[in-house]
Amino acid sequence: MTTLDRRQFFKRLAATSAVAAAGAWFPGIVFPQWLPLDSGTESLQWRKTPCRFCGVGCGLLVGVTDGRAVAVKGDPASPVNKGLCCVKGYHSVQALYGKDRLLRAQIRKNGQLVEVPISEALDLAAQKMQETIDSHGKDSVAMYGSGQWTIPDGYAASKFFKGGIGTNNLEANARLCMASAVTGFLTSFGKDEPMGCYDDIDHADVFVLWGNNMAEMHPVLFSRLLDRRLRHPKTRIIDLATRTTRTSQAADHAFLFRPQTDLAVANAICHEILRNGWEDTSFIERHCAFKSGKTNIGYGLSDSFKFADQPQNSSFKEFRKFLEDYSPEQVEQLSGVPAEGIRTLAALYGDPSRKVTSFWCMGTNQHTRGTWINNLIYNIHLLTGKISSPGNSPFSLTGQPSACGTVREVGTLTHKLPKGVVMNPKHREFAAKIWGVPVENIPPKPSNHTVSMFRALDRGDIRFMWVQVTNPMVTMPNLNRYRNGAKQDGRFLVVSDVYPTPTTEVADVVLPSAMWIEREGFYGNSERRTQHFDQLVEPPGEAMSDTWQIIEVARRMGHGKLFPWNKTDHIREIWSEYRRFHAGPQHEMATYEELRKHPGIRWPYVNGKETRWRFNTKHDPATENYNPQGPESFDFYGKPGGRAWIWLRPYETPPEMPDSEFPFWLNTGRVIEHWHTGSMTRRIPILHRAVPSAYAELHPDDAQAQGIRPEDTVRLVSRRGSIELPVSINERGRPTRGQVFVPFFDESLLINELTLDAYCPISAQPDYKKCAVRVEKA
Amino acid sequence: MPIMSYLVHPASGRARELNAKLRRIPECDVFPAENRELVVLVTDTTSKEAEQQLQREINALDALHFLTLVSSFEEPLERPLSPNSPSEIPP
Repeated sequence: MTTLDRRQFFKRLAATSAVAAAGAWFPGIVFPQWLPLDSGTESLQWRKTPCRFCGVGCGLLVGVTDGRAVAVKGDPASPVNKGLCCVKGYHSVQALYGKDRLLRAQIRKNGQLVEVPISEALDLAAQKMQETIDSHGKDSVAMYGSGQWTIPDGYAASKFFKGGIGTNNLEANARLCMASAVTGFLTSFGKDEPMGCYDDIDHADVFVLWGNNMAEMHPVLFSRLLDRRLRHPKTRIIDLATRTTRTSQAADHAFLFRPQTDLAVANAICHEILRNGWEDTSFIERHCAFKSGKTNIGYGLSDSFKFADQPQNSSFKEFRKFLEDYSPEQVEQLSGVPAEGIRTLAALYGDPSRKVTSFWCMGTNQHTRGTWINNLIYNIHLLTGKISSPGNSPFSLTGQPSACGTVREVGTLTHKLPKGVVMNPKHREFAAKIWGVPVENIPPKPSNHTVSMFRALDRGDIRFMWVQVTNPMVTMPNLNRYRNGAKQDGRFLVVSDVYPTPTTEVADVVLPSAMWIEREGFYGNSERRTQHFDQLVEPPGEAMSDTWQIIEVARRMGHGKLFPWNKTDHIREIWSEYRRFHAGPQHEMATYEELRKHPGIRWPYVNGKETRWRFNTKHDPATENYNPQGPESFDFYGKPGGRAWIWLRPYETPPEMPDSEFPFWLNTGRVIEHWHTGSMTRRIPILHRAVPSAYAELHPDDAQAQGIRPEDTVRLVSRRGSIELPVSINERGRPTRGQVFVPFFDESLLINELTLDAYCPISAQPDYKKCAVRVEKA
Repeated sequence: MPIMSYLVHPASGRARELNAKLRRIPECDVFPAENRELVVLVTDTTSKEAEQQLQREINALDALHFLTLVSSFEEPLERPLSPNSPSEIPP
């Protein structure tokens, strides 16, 4: 690159930063004279990769020169983002080059972490894991991964732990973000992951966002919604939330509901649909069954908690009767949503001339009744027959780049296998055959879900844990218990990461990981799109991919036969082996070669064609009467008789509500600038400067009532801990009265010391959106 | 040799006037938004002193409400990027 080229390049980079920042503050803003970074940079080699900073799965082009990633632009060939990026995507490559990047392995000696050659650290990890198994049994070791694991990482972990060692102590942080979505899909449809795809955005007339601040959390998709509204003025965006956000500001209607009452609001919408006769009777009769389950199901607060639902047959008549308690007026009292607002929502869902897509993410999933609220949103779409067809889509978004691809599809959860579940003997036999291990190796019972796993670490039932690509010492709810548990004598913690974090601080071995485009991999996004990426740059120092770290440790423990591959071909070989699990029209995946060529391919990928709308006989080759030219019909083949289940799920209170001692709700979440715990994005200067620290959002009336001014610091106190942090009044978001919101990206202000480790008994996903706190002027 | 980018908020109703004035300054590249009163401004000056002088000139414009610095590049551009230049360790 010439000096002139470089200068122009930096000017464009500066402009790109500002455009991205403007997009963060004002979703949908357009700068017609701004040119993306795509000319004047001829010496850069542009290579494709998916973004690693959320579950949308935007296609990026990364500019590489002299072995260094120096620029990013949106990939215009990607159907996901069509050349657009958000502020994190544009600056993503800077996360590779933080000053304190972990370059060498460390082991703890005399209480201090000291650098050692990575081979020594891998030796120690393998030795300690084997010693723990020998002394305490196979279930005394565990691995905790991530929705940021690549597919090969998760596959290697599953094969090693379930097929090799023989324990189901394998979990991933997607348990904290997507588990309720999974159980929602399985209980309603018997198959995981959305039936629709992002193409729905180009067909829908109405978007209902359930507790989903899409403008900040899925900004590129939200831009697509705004673009749809610009081109199709009939479009309506409805924000249904517990606080006012940038999404609310851009929406056509914004309804605020009291925490947990989304359950009642969803039932009230169904009540109103039936009262007006807006249901699609023919669809219901042909494609639905009614079910009820247990109620008063608890919250998982004790270590000994166990729950199993028992679905019972119900009927349309019983469903109608059940909904009598959810009139708009009754639910207005409970939820705070005006009855007229509920009627508006019902009318939009019920209008046969409008196509409706619902989006949701953490607001519904991080919920002690997360499975239920997922079921209830499906109920609305099933009642109206607005499902599995272009523009009609109940769409559960995901938060992480491969929560779907790695955790849900590969099955890196205690009960899962790459296909099916450990409880099913046929599924175990199938996995054992592909893995080349005795079927007896795979235990038939799930062991510990995430909260249970960290409780077991605290109790000493688990003695060895290996953490990769996640930061549980920031993200676990009721954090004090689990951090203290991890630090106890007799525990051994191995942590693979790219930067020092509060989790590496308590580790006995730290392994430096190759990050994202420093290795080859695959991610799977929210719309069933699998995306391959090549290694584009060399990892620094002795950093090694998580996949290869697992293989190295497995070989040291005598499981080398499971991984007969070399460093050059192992990703290709893993993909070829993994694909065998999903062979068949319900989940067929593209070949390695095809994925390398394309900016992602959606499964089921049958005869060279993606399936955009599952269960629809015009689109899905797995349906019984599949016929692209025939009339549209549906086959929900995950359930007996091809019928989706409409559930009778009531409103139930959360385990902890504001009271006289702790009068505020605490809600936690993210901001657009930072990814999860900030360990990467806080090392990107522009993002760090934009939001340098966490804060507590308060309603201005609450602040005034306590004499709290914008420059003040407040102390938040829950039954589990307290922190002090700056207050935010009428800035980015505004909670309702009696609520405080705190983002969790700041490792120096650990809000999860206050949160409650209650979870949905069906999904075991914790609720980070609701607990009781006191707010004091510090 | 600083290169800076800003988000520029015009005084109410004076976006067009502000754009025109900024465009007359040789060190400024101006990218107005079409659907909001907001301007992306990129400045390119030969020294820190020149940049400070330019900032004073911009701040003196009546039509300016306020401006927010987004990014700055001050590396001598003749040499490659330092491995650590784009990042900083959080406090």
